[in-house]
Amino acid sequence: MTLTISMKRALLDTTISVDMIKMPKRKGHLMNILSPYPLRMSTSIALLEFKAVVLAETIFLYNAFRKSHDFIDVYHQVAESRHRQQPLRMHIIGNILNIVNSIPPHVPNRNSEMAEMAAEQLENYIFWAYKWFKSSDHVDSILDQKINCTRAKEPPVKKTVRFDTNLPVCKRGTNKTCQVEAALRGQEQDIRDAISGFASQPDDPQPNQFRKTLNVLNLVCTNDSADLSHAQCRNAGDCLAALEAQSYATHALSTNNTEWEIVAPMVDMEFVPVIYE
Amino acid sequence: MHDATNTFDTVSTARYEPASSDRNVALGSSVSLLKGQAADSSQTSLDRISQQSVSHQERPKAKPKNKTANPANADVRNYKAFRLACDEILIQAKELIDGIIDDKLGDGWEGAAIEIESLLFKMRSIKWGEGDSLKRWVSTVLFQVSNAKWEASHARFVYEATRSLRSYYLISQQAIDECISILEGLNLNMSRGIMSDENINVNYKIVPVDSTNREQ
Repeated sequence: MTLTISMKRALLDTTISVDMIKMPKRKGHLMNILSPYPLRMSTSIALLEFKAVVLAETIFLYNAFRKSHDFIDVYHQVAESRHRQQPLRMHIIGNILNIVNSIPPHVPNRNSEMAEMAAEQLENYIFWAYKWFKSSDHVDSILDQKINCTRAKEPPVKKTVRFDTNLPVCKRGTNKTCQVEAALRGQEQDIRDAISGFASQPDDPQPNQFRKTLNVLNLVCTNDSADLSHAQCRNAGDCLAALEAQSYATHALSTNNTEWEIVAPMVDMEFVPVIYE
Repeated sequence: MHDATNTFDTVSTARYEPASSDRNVALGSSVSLLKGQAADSSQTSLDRISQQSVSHQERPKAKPKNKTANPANADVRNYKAFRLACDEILIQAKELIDGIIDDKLGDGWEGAAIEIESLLFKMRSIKWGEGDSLKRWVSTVLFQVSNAKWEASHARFVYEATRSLRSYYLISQQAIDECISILEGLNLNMSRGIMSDENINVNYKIVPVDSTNREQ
């Protein structure tokens, strides 16, 4: 790919991608922010993050509706759970309820019909969302030259009824061909110099993103046979996304100021904070 | 398998009662016959009766007189129902499209919109197409139009998507993909009702009903 030096090229963080489909009102605002950038890019690591959040939660709900056949039952299960992604799950169920409640009251087994209709549209959505992330409606290119996440390349697969595991544990030689360890080792010093000053203390019970990134870096750089899995890659997600877009993108756009203010300059990108009115 | 002539012979000799000691032997023979072995000349009369009963079991059942039980007839009926449902939706959608002025729907759009929603829910019960493809197609449309303030794009979407669906004989994932590409082409939002709460008329909540709520 030949890139004109003066052309502004935007790297979209996952937060921006999710907002594009979650909040259509924000999409207009985002398009205005993105208008100076003729090229918009994302990375395989961002797609991994998208799969781990949006696709994983929609697949979870799909499986729950198919298993329970009872809309109210699934609603209560999710409402009473203390899962980390409970707010997102409730957001999705609330949106679904606004639609499936249109099922006429005289329909027999209405509650079961509501669950079935929810599952049907979730199935449509899961396939669509993965395609959308890679489509030109979202970005012009998915960068995967340096890390090339294997999990990101795998589209959702439906078995007879349920969806296959969205993110199986990565194991080199079995189901992993990415270059994440090599990419981290190659940029070790740059990453340490950029983020060490902002990392929480090593013994902090709630380590921040920079500390988690340093932990992953230590693991890879002290052990030649280290074999990272997707959960560890997500801990170092912003750094990995920045590394993957290094020398391709000129600007990084995110709603996450805390991390990207530090990470973007590390790879000579200008950070553009996205703030909604 | 024994032929029909053999069966008649068996019937003609079946009036003789076998000796009680022959019974076990006879049952043994019938088992071997079931396994496909030819009956030999040493068969007792009970052997032959057993053979006869087996031949009755193997005889093909008469075709049901009820025409609706024939799968081919059910297919014809379902396909007709599918086409009829498409036609009814198209009539309503066309009415809406004809009423568009300056890219806005006419005043009475709600009536046709309610009718279309009702027809779509009715279409969900038609068993046609691969697996639940038709149901998933209906859900794709309903997730755009239910609980929404319709605009011209909604009417165009319903019309174009139904016209496209009607052109298929067997409904599969391809019909759903085409439906999605039509909605995207009309700038509708596939995330509506899943990740997005765009253009929702009424927000619903699930509230536990207890005695206090009832009194209120």
